[in-house]
Amino acid sequence: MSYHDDVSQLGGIKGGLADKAEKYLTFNLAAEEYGIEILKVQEIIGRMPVTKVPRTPPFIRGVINLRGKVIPVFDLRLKFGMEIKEDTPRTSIIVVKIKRSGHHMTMGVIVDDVYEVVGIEAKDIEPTPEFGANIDTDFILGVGKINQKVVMLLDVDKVLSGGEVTLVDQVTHVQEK
Amino acid sequence: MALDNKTIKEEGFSPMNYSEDMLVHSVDDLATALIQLEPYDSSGISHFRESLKEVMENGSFSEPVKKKLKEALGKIERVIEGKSSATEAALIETGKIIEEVMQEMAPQEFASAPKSFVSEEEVEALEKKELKYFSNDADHSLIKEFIVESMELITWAEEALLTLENDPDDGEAIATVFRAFHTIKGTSSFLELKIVSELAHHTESLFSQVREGSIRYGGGYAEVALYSVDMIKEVIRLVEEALRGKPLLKPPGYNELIHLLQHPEQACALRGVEEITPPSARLGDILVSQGVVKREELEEAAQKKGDKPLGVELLKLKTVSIKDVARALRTQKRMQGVTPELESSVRVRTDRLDKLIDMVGEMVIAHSMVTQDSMKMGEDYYEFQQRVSHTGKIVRELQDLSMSIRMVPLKSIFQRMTRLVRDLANKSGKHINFLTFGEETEVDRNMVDLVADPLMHMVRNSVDHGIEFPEEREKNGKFREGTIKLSAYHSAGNVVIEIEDDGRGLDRDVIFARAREKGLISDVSLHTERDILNLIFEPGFSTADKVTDISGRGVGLDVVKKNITALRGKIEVQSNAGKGCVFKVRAPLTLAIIDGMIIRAGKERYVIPTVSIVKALQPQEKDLSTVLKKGEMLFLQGKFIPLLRLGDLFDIEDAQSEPTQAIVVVVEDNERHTGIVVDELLGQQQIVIKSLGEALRDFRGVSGGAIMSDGRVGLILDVGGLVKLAHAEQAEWEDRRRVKEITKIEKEDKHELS
Repeated sequence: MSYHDDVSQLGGIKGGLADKAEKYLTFNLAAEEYGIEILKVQEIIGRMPVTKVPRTPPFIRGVINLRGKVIPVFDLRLKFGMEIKEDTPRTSIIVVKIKRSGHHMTMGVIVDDVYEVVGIEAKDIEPTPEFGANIDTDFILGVGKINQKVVMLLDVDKVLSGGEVTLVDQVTHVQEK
Repeated sequence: MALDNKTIKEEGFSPMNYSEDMLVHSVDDLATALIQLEPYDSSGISHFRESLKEVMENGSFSEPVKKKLKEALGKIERVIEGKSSATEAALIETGKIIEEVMQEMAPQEFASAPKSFVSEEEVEALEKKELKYFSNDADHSLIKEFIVESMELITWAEEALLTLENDPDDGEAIATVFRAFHTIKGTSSFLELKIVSELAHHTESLFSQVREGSIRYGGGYAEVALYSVDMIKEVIRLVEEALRGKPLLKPPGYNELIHLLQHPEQACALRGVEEITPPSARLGDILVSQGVVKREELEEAAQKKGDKPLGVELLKLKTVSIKDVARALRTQKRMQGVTPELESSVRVRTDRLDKLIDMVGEMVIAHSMVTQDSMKMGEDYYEFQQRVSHTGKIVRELQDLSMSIRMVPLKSIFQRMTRLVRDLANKSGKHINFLTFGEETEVDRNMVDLVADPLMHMVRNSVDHGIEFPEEREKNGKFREGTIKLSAYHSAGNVVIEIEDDGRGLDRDVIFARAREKGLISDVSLHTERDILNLIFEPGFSTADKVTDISGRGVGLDVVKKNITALRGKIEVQSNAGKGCVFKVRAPLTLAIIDGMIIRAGKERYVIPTVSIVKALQPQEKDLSTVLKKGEMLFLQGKFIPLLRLGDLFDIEDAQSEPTQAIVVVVEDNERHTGIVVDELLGQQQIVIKSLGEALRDFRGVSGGAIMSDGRVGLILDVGGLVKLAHAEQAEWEDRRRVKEITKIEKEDKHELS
């Protein structure tokens, strides 16, 4: 797990990309295709009632009961600054296990639709292109090509950890003041 | 309890006994004296005759040796009486006889030992009796400390060994013995007390085998283990003597024991002495009939023992050796015809247990949904409904079982308290009889540790300030020995722990005066007896100058209360001045389950822990007021309470915004009240608390989640956080003094958290 951190720290040097060749679960988010390393995925569940947690940023949908365990659910659309869309029957929750500061956490991410599991070879992975300062690409491992399609490979640990929780804290504190 | 000859003989594997060992020295001495003897020294010769006589009288000799010594005596006597002309020749002949005697005795010393037990090297070691086991530059104070510590450990080990007599698979007891010897080994090898560390090492190895299950405690192993305890006590006694300048020698039987410890399987061949059938199955009677203890000693021990086992008390009085007690226990068991009840157990990781409990919880919910569906189906499906209700019973049983899995008895902390009281009593010179009741009362695993600290504090309090000194007690017409009673029992889904002492009790007037002095109370008339006594739990009641190594009355009781409150428990004190007082702690059995009031605000449901709810009411217009158009207040029983609208705070749509149309739930935290405005009370329910996970920690306002009866997650309101929030807002319009006070309180709170 840690070598991914190392790789992304190197800023997408081409040599590191060979490590990223593995199986990915691909899904749809606002007509764009994304991939998550399959090893981080615990399971995929359908929509279920989510309990909203007050005083949290909007991209935190709330919490769900995953067979007796309470886990938080993130809305990736909102997280990535995309427009809000009503849930459809295709809407799914991908339950991922991430590691942050030594703790394993189970979280759900809400996506529009789940596609398939694909193996992506190293030669088909391109480093993340630079878009300039406006677009944060830190949590993108690289861009994969499958049959002419482009898949953004996400670094789940980065997407759902680090800054978010502190941000969440800040939001609540600001509200209190 | 010294290692007496009898004990060793009974072991059957000790080749030497004390008197014989000394004799070799004496015969040696005779030889030395004889060599120095000159033929013309008549007084010397007659002195020699006396020593020879003495040796013959005092020692028990084998027949050939006796004969030879007589022969030597005869020769000497003849010299003295002048019957023998050649004095020199007679002395030489005597010398020869003595030499023969020495030869006769030397091999015999080892011949009586079972051959397999003594190896060549050990014979050698025995010969080098003057070996040093004690370095001259040893730090005496360290060794003294070591002795005290070791004796304590041995006491624990003894108790554990006695437990093992009844239950050879008691893992805790095995571990206690193991740890005791392990610690002794470590310290003694650090102090270069080889004689101790060697023995401790081998005993430890024996118990590590027991612990690993490669051998089962009992039979010959038990004999060896018990003998080791006796031996290590003896060795430590010798170390103590060595501190006073005596040479440190291996006690008799030492080497054989080491050998046995290395080859414990040989010990299995050993059998105890023949059994005398005692008149009854009482331990004391058995001991008396075995001739180990006198009736009077027994009575004395029986009076002192309190509720401890008699065997332990006898050990303490040093009247018997642990081996004897153990043997008596075994006899007793046989007489009672009790086959030891083996409680087998499996260690399970707690996260698996938690998961099991989670799953059972889910099953209960899933099952209740099926039940509801089956009800809808109507009478046509009667059989189906029956099966569903049958599964319902199974599910309920499973749920009860899963809840009990995490429960453990309070025994461990009760034992810690027993120890604490004994130590404190010794330190302070008070006589205290400590009684415990209900140590089998079960609480959640986590609770045991959390309760321990406050309990310890209160027990200390009772010892230090409750129980008076013996003289004072006598003067007040009480027994010299004070009594502290620690008891636990279940009551209405809670565990109640009481600490009762018959000491001086609390002085209502002193407390009252102190509280007034500290500004904790303003009006005299408003306070009942109970209120006043409970002031001792107020922060700031105690004075800092009274903080000692041990506690001051009242010192830290606020902390005790805070800890108990954090466990959602309650503490109370009742006192009868001059007669004693009772501290009563009431705490939930588990931290995982709480009673919760489910409330609704808009479309959202939340849970408020019932324990923090003071009351719920629909306010009237006249009781409501706003301050500076900002803070809302409710006038309730002569006090203004800040109101918190849940709808506004949590941005809940469609929440009732008019307090007169809504319900105000008055909650309390840290003596501060706040009204929470909600739409509706939905009912009370027991809920299992779940963490919201790492990512959503540290949110003010919500303390956790719970799975509701429909399988969805409900959020538990963090009353403490909400109250603070409300009071912080209130602070904006209150005067400066008040603001200061709150920040101070908040600082304290933060301080506690950190």
